[in-house]
Formats: sequence, structure tokens, C-alpha cells
Amino acid sequence: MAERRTLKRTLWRAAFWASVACLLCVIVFPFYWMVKTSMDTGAGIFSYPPRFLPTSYALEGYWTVVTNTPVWRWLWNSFAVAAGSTAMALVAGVSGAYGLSRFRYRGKSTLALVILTTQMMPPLVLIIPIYTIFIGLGLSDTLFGLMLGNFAFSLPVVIWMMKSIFDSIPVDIEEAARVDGASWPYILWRVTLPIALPGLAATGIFTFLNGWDEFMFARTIVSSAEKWVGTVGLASFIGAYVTPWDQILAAATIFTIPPVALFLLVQKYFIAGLGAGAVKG
Amino acid sequence: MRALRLGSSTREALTPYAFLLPSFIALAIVFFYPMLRAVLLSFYGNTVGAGLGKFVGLEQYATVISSAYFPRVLWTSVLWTAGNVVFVLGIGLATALLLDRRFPGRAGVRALFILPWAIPYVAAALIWGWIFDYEYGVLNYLLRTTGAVDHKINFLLGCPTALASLTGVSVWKLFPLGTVMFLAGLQTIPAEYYEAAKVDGANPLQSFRYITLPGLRNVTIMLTLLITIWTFGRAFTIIFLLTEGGPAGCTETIVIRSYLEAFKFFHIGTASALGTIVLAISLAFSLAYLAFMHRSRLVYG
Repeated sequence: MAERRTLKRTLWRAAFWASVACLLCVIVFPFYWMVKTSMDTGAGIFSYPPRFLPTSYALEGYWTVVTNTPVWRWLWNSFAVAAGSTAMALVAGVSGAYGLSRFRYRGKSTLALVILTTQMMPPLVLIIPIYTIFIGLGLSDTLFGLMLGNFAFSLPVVIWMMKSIFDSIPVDIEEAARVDGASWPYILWRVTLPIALPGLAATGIFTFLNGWDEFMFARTIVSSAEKWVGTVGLASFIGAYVTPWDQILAAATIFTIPPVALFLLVQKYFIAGLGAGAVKG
Repeated sequence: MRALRLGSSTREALTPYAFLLPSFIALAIVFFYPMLRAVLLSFYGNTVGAGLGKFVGLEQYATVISSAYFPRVLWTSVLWTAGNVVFVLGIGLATALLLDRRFPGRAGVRALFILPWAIPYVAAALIWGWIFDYEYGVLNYLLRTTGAVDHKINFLLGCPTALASLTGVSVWKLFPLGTVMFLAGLQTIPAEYYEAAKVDGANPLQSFRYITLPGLRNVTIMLTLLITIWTFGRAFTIIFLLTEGGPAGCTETIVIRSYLEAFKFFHIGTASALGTIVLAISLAFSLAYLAFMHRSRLVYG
């Protein structure tokens, strides 16, 4: 009897670990395959049956990508656009978030609703008008234009994330400063924002990553090759006559490392920014 | 010159609006004005360029709705969205149930879950494009050696296989979100419920049916609406890069069609009409989501 129970438990345990292993394979294998292919050479890549370990570790694909394509330029452009739009969104968004989190006034919940709805609208809706407006303003094919386009979508996200962060900071902390006669901007700047700093950093990183990942606006607004960002540069490999998979995936690996590293840093916060509210029973 | 001085009570009353002003001015310029213009463009005969062009009323909508592609792209959007919702929720729930226990290495496993979420969409599209490759792709090899299929599958060049493959990539990227949210939902179900059920002689299946599922109701509704909003209106990169709506238009969602109308065929009017339809549907889903969040007191303005 006791023996049968231990057997049953062992079987359950084996099934559990087998399922976890399967799950991890599904999650991790594409990453492994990207890195493996990026390191490999033609013979190892185009062999059937495929080889599961690289046939060479010379990193030829990386060398070719770095020397033959302006991959650093693309990454720099990505960085500049994502960082610029994030900075703009934080500057414009923090005070708005504070205004939505504190005080009692007419129309507060309506305004919050507008922000939340804005955050959910598909970017497609803005790409056509922004494209035609930018032509009129001479902003098409400029990185500043792309920055503005990203800013439009980061701003509601920043406002909403920062609002929930301010909501979680008790008002009592501000009371003392208030009694001493400090002005509201002073309180926000000197009392509340320093406490909200980790949340502000997470919001900034989250917004930065959205900008890093953005493809549709980048592809549409910017056309000259020297202004391409990483996403457009990577996409440009598709459709080449012979697809150089080692180079493509080498570039993809380089482009993937920064967001994955940043995500692991802020994973604690990331759900808060997604669900637009807490997950409660 | 004396600065304008307001009474202190007026100043107090205006303070919140002063905080909101910069944000709303910025939003008005970069968001609301373009959005209004997007809707306007659908009523005008613009050809790519600045300006609105000639007013044509509902003509663009008539063109779109009577076109041969409209029912097809709408149906593809429905299939795409429903496929994403079903699989993200199904796999998310299954994996959450699997991981909702203590085991060595749990923190590491959960950290790995962030990977598909963190990878840029363009990079994900490239990796999967290579995995799906007909000649040398590893997926065909794996499926054939395990005996799952007996001949190679043309993952991206056949219908309806292509739509299924794209859905697979999207689900791979999104299901960890489902897992994380369901795990959070499972945490909110009190352990005493299960203990009480056990005392009453309920088997695990009954506990699942009568305690777990009702306990996850809110998370389920929230996720359904959220994934719907995202995959219906926002999914672009994976489809655009891997199939560009093909083959034979069978992966062309209404979003992809609108984009192609504008930037491939240069029909700004019909593209805007399609975009406005996408906007209206997204708005409906967003409002449903907000109404639900409000009713279950998950969001407070």
C-alpha cells in the first residue's frame, strides 16, 4: 500500500518535471536557435538534418554584420529615438499623472478614463494622419519626427503608469510639507517624486523598450538608410536573394540583448503597466 | 507691473488643472488632433500628401464595404483575434496551474517566462521565419522525426497554415502574460476553500470546477478583453514581416489591409475608412474592458 503511494508520487513528480521541461523548451528553444544559427557558418546552417550545435565558433556572421552593415548606426538611432521620446513623455506626463492621482475635482474620473482609453487605441489609427501631417511640416524622414510619433504613444502609457505609482504613495507623507506651507509643485518635486523614483525608472524603462521595439512608425516615417533604426535595419534583411541567416540572426541577437537585460531588471513592475490596474480577486 | 493674484481658494481649485495642463496640451497636439484628422481623412479624397483633398462623404466607406476584400479581412481578423485569445488563455491557464506550487528553481523558471515577452517583435519574426523555413527549417525536421507529420509543411506559404503559424508566433510571445496573470489570480483564492472542499470529500476535478474556475473569473474576463484589444488592433509586425498578408491574402487582417492600402497602394481615403472602422471596434472593446474593470472595482478614476 505504502509502496504504491510512493510509486504514484514519483510518477506525478516525473510528469510534473517533464511538463516543466517541455514548457521551458518551447520558451527557450527559439532563443537557443537564434544564437546557435548566428554563430554558425553556411555549412552548419544549411544542412538537413539540421545540426543542433554550431559547426564553428568563429562568429563570422557577427563580423560580417558589423563590418558590412551600419548595425551600430541603427542601434544608436534606436537608442536616440527611444530615449528621446521617453524623456519627452516623462517630462510631459509626470505632472499630469500627479494631477490625476491627487486632489478632488470635477471631471477627474472622466479624464482618467480618457487617458486609459487613449492608451488602448491601435497605433495604426495615427500612422496615416501623422504621415500626412509630417509631410506638410517637413518632419517626414527625420528622426525627430519618429521621436514625436513614439512620444504620442508613450505619453498615455507614462501618465497611466505614473498615476498608479502615485496612487500607491500615501498622501500623509505630503501633509507635513503642506502644513509647512510648501507649494504643490515643490511637494511633487521634492517630496513625492523622490519616493516614486523606482517606479519612475521602471516606467522610463518600459517606455524605452516600447520605443526600441517599435516598427510600424519607424518603417513608415523614416526612409533614408542612414536614419534607419534597429527594427527597420533588421527587417531590411528579409527578401534578400539568398537569405544570410547567420548575419540576420547575429544582428537580431545584438538587438535583443539590451531589452532582455532591461526586462529582467524591471520584471517586478511590468505587470502593473500592462493590466492597467491591479489583478485582484 | 503687478502679477495677477488669485484668491487662495481659487488657486487651490485650479491647482489640479494646472498639473494636468502640460499633459493634455501635448496629447491634444500629438494624439487627439491626428486622431480627429484620421477620421476626417476617411471622408475626403486625399491622395498621399498634405491637405485633406475633396470632400466625398461616405464614398470611401462604400468603396471599402462593397469591396471583394472587406469580408475576407474582417473574417481573418476575427480568426486571428479569437485564435490568440483562446490559445493565450488556454496555455496561460494550463501553465499557471502547473507552476502554482513550490518547487526548487521556481524563481528561475518564472524569470525565463519573461523572455518571449521581452524580445522585440521584429527579432521574434526573424527567428520564427527561420524556424519555419521550408527547406532548412528546424520545425519541419522536428515534426518529421517525431513522426507528427509524414511530409514537410509549408508553414508560411499555404492557406490556412500560414494564419495558424502566425498565430503560433503571436501566442508564443503573449502566453507568458497569461501565465503571469493567472498565477496572480490563483494567489487570490484562499487556501481554506480547498481545504474545506477536501473535508467535504470533493475530488481535485470538482475543486477545480467549483473553486478554481470561479475564482479566476475576473482575471479571465480581463485577459480576454486585453488580448482582444491588442491582437485585433495592434498586431502588425509579425504578420507584416512574415507574410505581408499573403499568401493569397489569407493572413491579411483589417489592420494589415489598412496599412497596405495607405502605404503600398496609396489609397489614403479607403485606408482611413478602414482605420476608422478599426478605431470604432477597438473603442468598443476598450469601453467594455473599462466598464468591466470599473464594475469589479479594479480601476478607480
